Amino acid sequence: MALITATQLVKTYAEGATAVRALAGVSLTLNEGDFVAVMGPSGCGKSTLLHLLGGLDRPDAGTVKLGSDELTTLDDEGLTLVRRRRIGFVFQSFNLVPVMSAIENVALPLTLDGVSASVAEGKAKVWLERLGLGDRVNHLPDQLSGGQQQRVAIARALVTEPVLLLADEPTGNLDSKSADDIARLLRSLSDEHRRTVLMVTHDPRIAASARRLVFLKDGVIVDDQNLSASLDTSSKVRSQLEALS
Amino acid sequence: MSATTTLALRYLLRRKTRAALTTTAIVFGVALVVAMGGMVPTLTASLTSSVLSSVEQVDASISTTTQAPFPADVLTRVRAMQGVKLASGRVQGMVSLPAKSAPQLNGKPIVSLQLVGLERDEVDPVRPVTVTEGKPVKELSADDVLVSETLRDGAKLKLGDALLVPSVAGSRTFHVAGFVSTRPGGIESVFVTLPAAQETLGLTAQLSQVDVRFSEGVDAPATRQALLTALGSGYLAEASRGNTQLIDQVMRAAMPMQAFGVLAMVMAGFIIFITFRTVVVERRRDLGLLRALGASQRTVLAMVTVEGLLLGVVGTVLGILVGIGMERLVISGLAPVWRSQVGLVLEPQPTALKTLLVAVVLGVGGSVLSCLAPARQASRVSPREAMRPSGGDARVPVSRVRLGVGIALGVLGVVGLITGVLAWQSVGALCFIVAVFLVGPSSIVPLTSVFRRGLDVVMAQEGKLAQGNVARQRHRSSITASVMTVALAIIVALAALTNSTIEGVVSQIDRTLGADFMVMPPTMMVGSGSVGASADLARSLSAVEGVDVATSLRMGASRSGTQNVSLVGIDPQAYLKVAAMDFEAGTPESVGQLAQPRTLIMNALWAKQTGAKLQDQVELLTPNGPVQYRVVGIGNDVLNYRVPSAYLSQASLQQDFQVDSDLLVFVDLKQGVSSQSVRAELEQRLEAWPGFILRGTSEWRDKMLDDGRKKLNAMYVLLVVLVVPALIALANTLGINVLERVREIGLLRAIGSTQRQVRRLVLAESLLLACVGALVGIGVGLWLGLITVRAMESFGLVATFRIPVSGIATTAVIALVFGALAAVLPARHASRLKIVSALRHE
Repeated sequence: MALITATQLVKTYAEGATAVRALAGVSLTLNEGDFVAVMGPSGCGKSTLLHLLGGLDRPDAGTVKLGSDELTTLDDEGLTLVRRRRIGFVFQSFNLVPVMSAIENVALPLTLDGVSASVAEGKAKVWLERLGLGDRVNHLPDQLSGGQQQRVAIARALVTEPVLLLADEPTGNLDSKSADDIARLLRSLSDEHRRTVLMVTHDPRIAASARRLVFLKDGVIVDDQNLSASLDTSSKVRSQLEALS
Repeated sequence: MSATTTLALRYLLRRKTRAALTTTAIVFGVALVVAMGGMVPTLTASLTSSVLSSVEQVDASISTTTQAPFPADVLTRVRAMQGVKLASGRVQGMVSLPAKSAPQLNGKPIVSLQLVGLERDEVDPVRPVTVTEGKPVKELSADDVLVSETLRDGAKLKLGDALLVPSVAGSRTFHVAGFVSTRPGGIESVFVTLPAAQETLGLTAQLSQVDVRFSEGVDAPATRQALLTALGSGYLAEASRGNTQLIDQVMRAAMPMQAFGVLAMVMAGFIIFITFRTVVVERRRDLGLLRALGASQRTVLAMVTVEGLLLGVVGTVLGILVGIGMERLVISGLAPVWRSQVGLVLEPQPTALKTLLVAVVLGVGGSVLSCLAPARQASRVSPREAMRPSGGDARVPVSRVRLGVGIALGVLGVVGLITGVLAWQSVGALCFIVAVFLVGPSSIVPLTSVFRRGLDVVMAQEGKLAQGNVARQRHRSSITASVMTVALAIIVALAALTNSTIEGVVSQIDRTLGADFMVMPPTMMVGSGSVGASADLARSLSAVEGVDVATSLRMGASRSGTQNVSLVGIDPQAYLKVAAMDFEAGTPESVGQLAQPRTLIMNALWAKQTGAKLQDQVELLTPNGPVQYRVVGIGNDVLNYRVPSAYLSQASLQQDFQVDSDLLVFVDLKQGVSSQSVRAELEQRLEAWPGFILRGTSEWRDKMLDDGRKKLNAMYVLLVVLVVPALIALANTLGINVLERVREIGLLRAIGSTQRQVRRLVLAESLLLACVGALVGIGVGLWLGLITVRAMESFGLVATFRIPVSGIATTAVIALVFGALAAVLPARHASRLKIVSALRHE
């Protein structure tokens, strides 16, 4: 069943001679429980697509429908509520609030929604323990390793029980072991928790952990295929990427 | 605690130094407002305390509205009135004690005392004077004096000791006959018999006050009203006003200081604005993240506003405490001087609720208001910022509309200036100031390039990089320079104002004071009540060989409507031989017209306030009720330009206001007579008048000039404090610039920049901004100074616009010193960054 549907998305940055068309008519549908990796060369529009799907930005043309809500018609207040309650974000550089502890960071989306601190931190603790950070709940971000920080960020993205998880280069700042851990974690979220995950990445090895692969080039989707778990998906993805680039 | 408050608090605590610096600015502004707001009640309470304390003891205390003496027959009339059981008259006046024979109090001579004459047989049943040692009041003889226990202990006085008191006839020696218990807060007073005081003060058959006790069971308010009705509008039936002219003076002196406090708070507002603006830039990513996570615009707005609120509350509380401390410190420093010069005890009063409210409104309200615009800007940060790699904010283009409006306003401003019309010049100044802010981001680069050429001589490489940084952050740089501009403009404007006033006064002295000598008390008390000299003094001086004319001035006080008016009694025939007036209406012949009864010359200040013209009738309140005076001239001389004043003949002053003693004598020598040859003889004559001293007019002029310059120097010190917020702003901006450029600084260090070069880079940027701020500040300051001086002229005050060369030099030095100081910490921080971690910095 379709969770989010993007239709003919167009986005252009700047004006006149310096105008850059980031998306030139992208249509994409994600179903519940999908784990999709978006790949493509730099500047192909991957991040722009993620921004538009997450309600962080508005398209110049086209529509984004999340469930029954048409995001492009919502005002700032409406979009804020969608981001707060239905979408979780994971960023390349973790983006934890530096002045807050791990548990406070995870609880933040709930407290912003008016949930009491004790309830919010109770839920946050459950997610941190689930992600193996039960002994790090009171640490500040700069007291955690990169992998731990990214797991805190994922816990924060999940604490509101969102239907859609958007990850922008979630392993870009991590060593290979931590990156593999995060990739497995995202896959398990899709497999075990039926979350819909869309991940933008440059790394074929990480992309191979997804069940579906979307290639973008010059603002359009040039390939969209399901990945088979039985094949050596990592090298398949790499060769596919090289062919398309 | 809500997420908003938690975040606000955490962010503040994370940047403790910046929060502390910003709070300091608020503390400073609030403290000044509180300290000045607290000092005024203390000073006025001191001025009214002696009078008020007497009100508590009697049913009514009768005096004139101007505190001027009145005919003694009022006492007889009061005693005859229904409901009055007892009444006692007293006379009082301030006497300046000769420095040589004045008793010492805490090591300092008491230069003035209040001499009080009491009715021996009537005073004790009405308002008892508690004698703790020596003769009671009813046994006092004509040469006896009672002094306070404080004076006894401080000056080590014994019974029988002599006390020399200046009198209208020269001087009079009293002997200490007893000691009275000291009344807290009261004026330092000595008590003699009524006739002795009347004789000493030259107030024969006059009284200053009548104390009344009512019969049992009478309706006190109704009886007081009946007394007032019987005596007329020139009287008060309870002495609650105190010396209104002195209080007026205190208020007048305190106003600029309070304005200074408000100015400091405005500067603090600037600091908060800049701090939060930079905070928004610095936290762009965090703010974007919050928005991405679902924080609404309102939440972000609230978070930043709460930060401002927290700073405002902390700053205000600390500011109030510091202000009260400052006030106590100043009062304790001022108390001995006030005691010896004015003869009053200063006791700190509890800070008024109104002052505290003003402080809270300014401190908390100002802080919140100042951070609103940055908070709004913060709330508009796109959630996409969270996804963007950091590296400082992008160059923000300068709006063409903003630039266009700025240029248009600047042109309007200049046109306003060259019209020469005060109103247009004022509007022009306002336009120009707004224009400076609007064109700031566009003009900061060309302006800094002017100064960079100078900087190239000592730090060419750093100057180039620094200018690049200024160009990259032109909005922020221009705001920082603007703070410096505002602070320095105020210095230059006030320097221009003070310089112009001094010049104006001195040139007026030169124009209007023709006498060779002036004979005056060492301290001139404001208003009525000071002991003067009988006409014998002027006669004695005019009899000296070589003296052409010796003519006196007498001082009185009155009210016209609600306005206190100083009265100057002159001899219409002799005055123009020793002095002149700057006439705005009328001619020198107007002085001669004062010989006609009930005519006066208004000074320009009073005339401007009332809009009076030649031949108008103005009402003056006398002890016998209001009387009409005809205006025969409007003019100024140097002695009375600051307060509303009127010149009238000594005959009128005596007839309507019972003033017949001289307070100042002008002595003019015959043509060709040297002042040295006459001086010794004049001083010898003055030995019989120890309450007066001789001053050469040029010597007095030089003293005025010297005093003015000292005040100017003191003002510079005070004003430097005003620039402190600019220092904080500059340091703040530089600090943020360093934070934003950590990676860039790491790169510079990696490719071979020394720590010293990095420090010099930050210093160069600071100096460039300071120089631009100073250049514009001096221009704006001169403009504001010109307008203020012209406004003063239009209000009838004396001033001639002069460019304050020393003020400009001071400003330039302050700008450079503060520019260098502001760079110290950020430069240190930048130079000590670890290269590897700086290169990895996000």
